[in-house]
Amino acid sequence: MTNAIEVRGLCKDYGDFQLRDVDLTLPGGSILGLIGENGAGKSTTIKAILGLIRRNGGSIRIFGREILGDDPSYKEDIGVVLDEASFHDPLKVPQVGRVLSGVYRDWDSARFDAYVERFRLPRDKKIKEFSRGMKQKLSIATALSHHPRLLILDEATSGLDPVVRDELLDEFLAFIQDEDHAVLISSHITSDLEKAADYVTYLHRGRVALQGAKDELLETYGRLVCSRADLQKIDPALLLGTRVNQFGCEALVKDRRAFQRRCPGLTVDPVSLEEIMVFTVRGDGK
Amino acid sequence: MTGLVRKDFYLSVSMFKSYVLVALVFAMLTFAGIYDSSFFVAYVSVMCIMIPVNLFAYDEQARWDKYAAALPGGRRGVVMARYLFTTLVCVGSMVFSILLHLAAGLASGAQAQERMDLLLSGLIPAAYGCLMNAVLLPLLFKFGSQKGRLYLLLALGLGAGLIFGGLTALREMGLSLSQLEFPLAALPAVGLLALIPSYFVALGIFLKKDL
Repeated sequence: MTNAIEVRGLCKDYGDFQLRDVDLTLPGGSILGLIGENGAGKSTTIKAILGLIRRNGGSIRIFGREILGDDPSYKEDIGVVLDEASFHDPLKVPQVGRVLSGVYRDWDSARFDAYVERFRLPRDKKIKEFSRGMKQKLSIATALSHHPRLLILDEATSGLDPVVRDELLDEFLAFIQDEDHAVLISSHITSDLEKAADYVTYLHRGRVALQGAKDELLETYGRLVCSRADLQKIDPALLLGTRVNQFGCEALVKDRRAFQRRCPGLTVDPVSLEEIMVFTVRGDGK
Repeated sequence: MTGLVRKDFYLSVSMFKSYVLVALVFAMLTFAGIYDSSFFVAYVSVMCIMIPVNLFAYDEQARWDKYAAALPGGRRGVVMARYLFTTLVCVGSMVFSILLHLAAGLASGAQAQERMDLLLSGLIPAAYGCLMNAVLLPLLFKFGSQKGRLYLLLALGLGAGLIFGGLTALREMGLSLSQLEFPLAALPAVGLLALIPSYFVALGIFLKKDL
């Protein structure tokens, strides 16, 4: 099956920030979570895929087709939700629908109306009266209403309450039931991605720090809690990051099973994506 | 792309109340004899320029450019839609000016010569609006509406000076506008044609921009 997205060696130089050699693959029928701290390069990667910035190097393929220059035709297949709301304050929901019906070839007004109904979005209110959650729901309704094969969502769930976030994640999971569909979602709310993502790419300081199948990563990595004396005895090659405090030490273990074979006396707990992120950022270089 | 033009139309309609209110104030001041009718006519050309500038401001507020460029029309669609809508605004204001001046001429019982003068003086501001848009739109695509407003003020100041200065000079030379019938009548076409090279400049700018 063709991959929905294939990014190879993506580079972008902003002077004070560089995105370097980012590789990323999103197979059909799956959700790829792009995680990383603020300013790690998540939005830059998404912008490059959407052709919103000029990249300095690398290649991007969408459904097998290489994206070159300013050919926007591949965007018919993509539903986009960007970090900040993208619809104007004076507009109302039906007007947004009419605007986008003149943009997408396959715009489905009935489908849009159904999403508006399902998300309980008021039709007679101006968007300036919408809450952030309502604005995000509207963006997601528009992203889903032209029969896209790929959803690209930049921080689509940030700033939303857990109930709304859960509702939206269910929507994305329903979307990928078709194996021809895929979702790329960037978020720093790692618990959302733990719930929904099949694959995870972790960007740190513009580079890919970690990537793979989410379940495999969570199965492989582990969190070690031990004393300073124990930590000193451990081969540093087995650890990715360490944190030392007055009560003891914590470390991110690269391979939980291999570690337990080498150090059977020490306990390694399962780890969350958030802990992997925090260890990498705060334990960086330690 | 028609969707993007439609979006500009909806936003302009939402601003319409303010435009009408200002027009009414100018109309009252004109009737009261504080301003002459040319001031009201100049308002049309100001609107011709203000509408696109305000659309840029709305787009920036909604961070629309990023989203719009991610739509199937891409960056080309964004620029094309803005030029198409601006052209519609310019043509609309020209038609409005012509009708307004014809009505004023008929109502005042002006002679044919005076009617022609009125018509031409109505066309000049609309043509000026087109020409200013041809200059301003690439600047707005490059710098955005905040800095663009500064250029707008400059353009309005220079343009108003040129128009009023030109009309005064003509009067002092004892010439009437109708004696310059052909060059003046060609001005709206020149204004509209100027939007073509302007489009390509704006497109070049927008294609290179990191959004």
